[in-house]
Amino acid sequence: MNKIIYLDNAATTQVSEQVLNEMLPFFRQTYSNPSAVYSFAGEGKKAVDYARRQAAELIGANVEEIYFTGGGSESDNWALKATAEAYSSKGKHIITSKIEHHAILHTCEYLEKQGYEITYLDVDEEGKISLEELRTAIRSDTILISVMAANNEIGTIEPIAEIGRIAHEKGVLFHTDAVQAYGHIPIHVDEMHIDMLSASGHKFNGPKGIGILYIRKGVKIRSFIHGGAQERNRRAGTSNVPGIVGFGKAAEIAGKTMEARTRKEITLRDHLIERVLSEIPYVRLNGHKTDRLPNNVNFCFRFIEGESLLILLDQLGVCASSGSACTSGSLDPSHVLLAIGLPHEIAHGSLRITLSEETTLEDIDFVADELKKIVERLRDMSPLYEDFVKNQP
Amino acid sequence: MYSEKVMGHFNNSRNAGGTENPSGVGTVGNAKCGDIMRIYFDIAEKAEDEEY
Ligand SMILES: Cc1ncc(COP(=O)(O)O)c(C=O)c1O
Repeated sequence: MNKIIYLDNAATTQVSEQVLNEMLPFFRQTYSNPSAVYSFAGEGKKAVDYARRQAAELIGANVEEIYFTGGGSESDNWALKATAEAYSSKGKHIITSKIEHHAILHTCEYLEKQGYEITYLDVDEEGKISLEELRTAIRSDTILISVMAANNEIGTIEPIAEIGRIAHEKGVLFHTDAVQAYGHIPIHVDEMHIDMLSASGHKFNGPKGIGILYIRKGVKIRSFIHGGAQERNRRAGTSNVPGIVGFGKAAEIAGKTMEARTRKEITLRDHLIERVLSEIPYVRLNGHKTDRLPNNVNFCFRFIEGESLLILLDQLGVCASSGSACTSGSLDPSHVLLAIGLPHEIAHGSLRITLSEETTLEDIDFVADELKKIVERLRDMSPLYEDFVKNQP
Repeated sequence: MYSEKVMGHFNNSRNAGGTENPSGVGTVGNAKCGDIMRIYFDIAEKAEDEEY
């Protein structure tokens, strides 16, 4: 087996050693339930409070506005469903975008069945929503705008500060799915007028199955998971102390290292983009060229299928992903690639490569070199390419 | 994700590629759903006065 070159960090990341070491004592030494009265529980409670502070600091929030959840999907579900319920007397209209993660889109579909009306904003060819379209979509019965901070497939960063300003001008709540952005780009909930924000531990070197929902003080959403009084009565369930501690530590590290780490990632990202676009014909870059996540690269290679690219890369030890059909169990390519206007046959040739702090220039050059060969080999057996060549003047 | 047999064919494709002056060509599948195959026939001799 080759060495593994892991370039699927948008799917999940490795728990960093520092984070793991911080978590370990809470499995066997200080394993008590932090809600208990005896002093043995004190350590766990202190650790949870400290982690909440770490999580809050990264986005300029107050400690009591952070609620720990079971991950990004739960946070998204909570934000949408509970807001819909709490504000239904004001109206039943919600605005979101066509390129949200399924945790948002499928929740919206569920709400549609409950009698809510959802407007799905279009995006341009680079994946950005239009602020003009947003303005005109807002109605007197609009209760919530939910637009992601950055897209998980094509990496485009949405203008969330402007979206937040418009939402607040119009007296509408603003939620952002920041699962891909938290710890990767600067976010400030006050400066960006964010009322609710979802983040997930495993996207920035923390553990899986732990997330947060930031809820601005004064937003009246209620409990989503009913039961005990944990998380200020808003999210029941015995606290996942090791997970919470891991989230907090990962958030702290992400904040401290953000500048240097993302500078390095951007250099490698742009090097890969530059090499592939100049050395391989009939390729396009998906997503915005500069307003994009530091670690995200996404291409479409014409005439071939993303899935075969993944298989051949896998044989070289390279882990990447694609918005192509079969991987998702559906014949349609990713809704994000269709939303930016790509025809099906081009969207099928997509490849997403997402870097980490550990990625090296050698890794990137290896991938670029191999991609050249792989794309050529696959095109050689592609009837689509054959037709294209034949029809060239 | 795929069986060894499928991977074997993928890595060591037999009978792949076109042929010059084929007697016939057939294309199936749809580029829209990412699956497309083209088959080339080369029939060496035509049987004359075939009877059924
Ligand atoms: C943008 C976005 N939202 C939500 C999620 C879901 O997060 P989790 O896997 O923690 O439930 C993901 C991750 O897959 C994501 O990328």
